[in-house]
Amino acid sequence: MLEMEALQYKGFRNLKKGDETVGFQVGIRFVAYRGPWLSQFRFKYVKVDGKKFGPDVCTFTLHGVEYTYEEMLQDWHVKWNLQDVCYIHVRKPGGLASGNHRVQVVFWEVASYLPPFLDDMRMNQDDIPEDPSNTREMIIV
Amino acid sequence: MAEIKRGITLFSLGSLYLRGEMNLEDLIRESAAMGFEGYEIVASQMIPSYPFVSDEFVEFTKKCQEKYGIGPVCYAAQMDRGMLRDRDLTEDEMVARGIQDIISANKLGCKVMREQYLLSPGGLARLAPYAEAYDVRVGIEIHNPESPITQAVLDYVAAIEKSGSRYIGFIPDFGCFATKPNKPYWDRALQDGATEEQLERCAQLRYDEVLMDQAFAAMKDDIEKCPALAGALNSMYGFVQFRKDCRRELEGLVRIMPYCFEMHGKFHYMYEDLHEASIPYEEIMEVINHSDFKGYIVTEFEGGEEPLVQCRRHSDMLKKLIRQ
Repeated sequence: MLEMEALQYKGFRNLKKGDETVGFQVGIRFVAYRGPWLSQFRFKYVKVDGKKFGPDVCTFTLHGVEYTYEEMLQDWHVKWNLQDVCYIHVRKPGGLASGNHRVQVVFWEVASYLPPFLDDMRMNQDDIPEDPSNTREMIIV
Repeated sequence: MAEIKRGITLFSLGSLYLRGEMNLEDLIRESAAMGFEGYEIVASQMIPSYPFVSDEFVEFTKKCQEKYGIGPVCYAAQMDRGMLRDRDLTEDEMVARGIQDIISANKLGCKVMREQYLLSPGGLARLAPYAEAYDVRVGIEIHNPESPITQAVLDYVAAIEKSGSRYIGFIPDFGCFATKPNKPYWDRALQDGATEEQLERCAQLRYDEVLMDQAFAAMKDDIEKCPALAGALNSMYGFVQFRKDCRRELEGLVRIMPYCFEMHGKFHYMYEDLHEASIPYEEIMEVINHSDFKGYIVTEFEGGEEPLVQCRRHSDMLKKLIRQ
């Protein structure tokens, strides 16, 4: 079932390739007036317990299709609707330890009716404050 | 002679939907209970198969129509001209999007589609043959700070008249007739430490049509002490502008009335005595009552708290003001 929060408990887990744990995934949805076309998606990082993972170590799976961040920025034909969860796959050998983690995902939407300076401001800001809209305590079992 | 129906855009109840407190069927049921005769749907918000309309979704709206008696009357499309980082969409690309939206609107059974000003007048004219073929009237939303007499809108009028088509036109949003400051922004600034006196000075600058930069310069010392004032002043020069009176704008509305397919009954705050805080509905409705407008006035709540209470009051106000 879809959770109303941006960060989804469901699907937060380590990723394995054969016997090896190669990273982890976290699901996100848009809690906004509407969902974006992929090219309107902006992503800065996933932060787990203070450690950041940027677009270079992430891929994004929506509707069963895996994209790099660059591919998403180019794709203006696929719609990410409010009911859709996108799973971010983060490359991290060994994955995350079992137990509680504080997870922040910094992402937003750009739109024709929003002033571009808002976008620049976020992009140029190293740390985006944690708040309930982008951060959740979650568990790896 | 006007033939006016009352509708609601489900966007008005969007906060309940987005927080998961109500699902789409709940919104439709509540809308019918408030006395609305049809609804507009922001397609990208509430149609899961957007930009397409699935058979399942059509079936769902038909079932709701049987149960609650109301169905979709307007498909609110969006034109994301700025969706790519390196360039705007071309007119060809935007027209292609518009055609897809017309097809979706038709599939949903809507006779009207809301289009956004990001599509140029030339682009709108190119949609006319498709609008005719699918029997969907495409209206550009006239949203504050535009109004029926601003140049951008007059450019659309020229394109519409040149096309000779009755299928392209407008959806005026009543926010463009505002004569007082937006109440929710005002109240928020008060909560954040601004005083009535400071806000009244801001409003006076807007009434006096002082340029934005000069208004900010005039309020500089106050803004330094109370940053919340900046947001309030900015809004007065943004999407919730206002002026002393809207007589000229209403004259402009009369002129474009033959091209109006629907009205957005925008509001931000309804008092218990059924008056809107900043938009002079009595004056606006006087003009529409005496026109040949045929279509829906669609209640559009863009305020904050208690959307159900607010929309109910708005519905009751319209009922009181509509004469036909």
